[in-house]
Amino acid sequence: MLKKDPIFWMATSIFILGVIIFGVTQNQLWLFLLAGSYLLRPTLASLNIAKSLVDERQMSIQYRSGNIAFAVMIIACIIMSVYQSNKGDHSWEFFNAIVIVGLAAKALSNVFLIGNYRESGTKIIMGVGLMLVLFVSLENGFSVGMLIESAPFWGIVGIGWLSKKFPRAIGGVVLGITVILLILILSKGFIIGQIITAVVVTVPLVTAGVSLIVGDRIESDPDGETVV
Amino acid sequence: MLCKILSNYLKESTIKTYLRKYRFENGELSQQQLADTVKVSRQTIVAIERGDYNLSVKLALQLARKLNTTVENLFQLEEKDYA
Repeated sequence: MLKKDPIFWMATSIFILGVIIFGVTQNQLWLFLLAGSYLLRPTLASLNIAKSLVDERQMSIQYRSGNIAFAVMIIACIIMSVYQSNKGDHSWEFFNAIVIVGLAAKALSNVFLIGNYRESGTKIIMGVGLMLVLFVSLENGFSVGMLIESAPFWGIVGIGWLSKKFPRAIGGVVLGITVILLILILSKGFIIGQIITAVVVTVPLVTAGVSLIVGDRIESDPDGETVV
Repeated sequence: MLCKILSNYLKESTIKTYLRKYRFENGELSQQQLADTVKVSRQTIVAIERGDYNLSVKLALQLARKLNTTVENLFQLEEKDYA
């Protein structure tokens, strides 16, 4: 039996709106609103909005089915990416971007939910640095050129390491670097590719910077072990 | 093989539950009535009684209060699961 609460009526309204606009415009993209109506309840509950309107077992089921759906979408994107790449179609980069954005969103929401902000901030900065070093290594192989080209990215790894000792100061530096990177990326054109790059590069860095400044919700004991 | 994986996936609890017994001892409450008092769906009560769902501590406490008993009377872990 359907539960006729405010979320039900909101979802129904979105559904009807999608169908009406599709009927009028004949543009199939409006049918994505139907997906919105289906995902409204679990999304609101996951964001802690209207949690009282969602049963705890329904939430547990939503978490599990959400994880399965996420894995399926990532695999589908990878398959599509490989398929388009083999055809020589550059749209494979969009699928690639979806995979990266999805994984980044999952990793970042984990950081927020765990609450161990400073440690996570350090890990994110070092992770971004090491990933960039890895990309340079794969492009150039192990050579002197690679060492020179990867030097700035080793610098990012170093900043990450320093953030353990000076979290607030490094947090500020990281936010400053992010603003500069954002301007550099978007100055090359305000097109979808640049926007995706900007999101992929800046979201983890902003998260890391803010995490380092805000501090931990989880206390550490004198031996340096994390106490949850 | 697939059935076993699916069944393991669906069945998440190894907790012994006496919810049905206490429901009947408290004026033969129906699953729907109990569900309404603790603000969950009837399917959740069914799943708890069947041992298909590990409920939260909050819901366990709410159920125990409504059924005039304690959480430990309502739910018990199997001996092997204490380790």
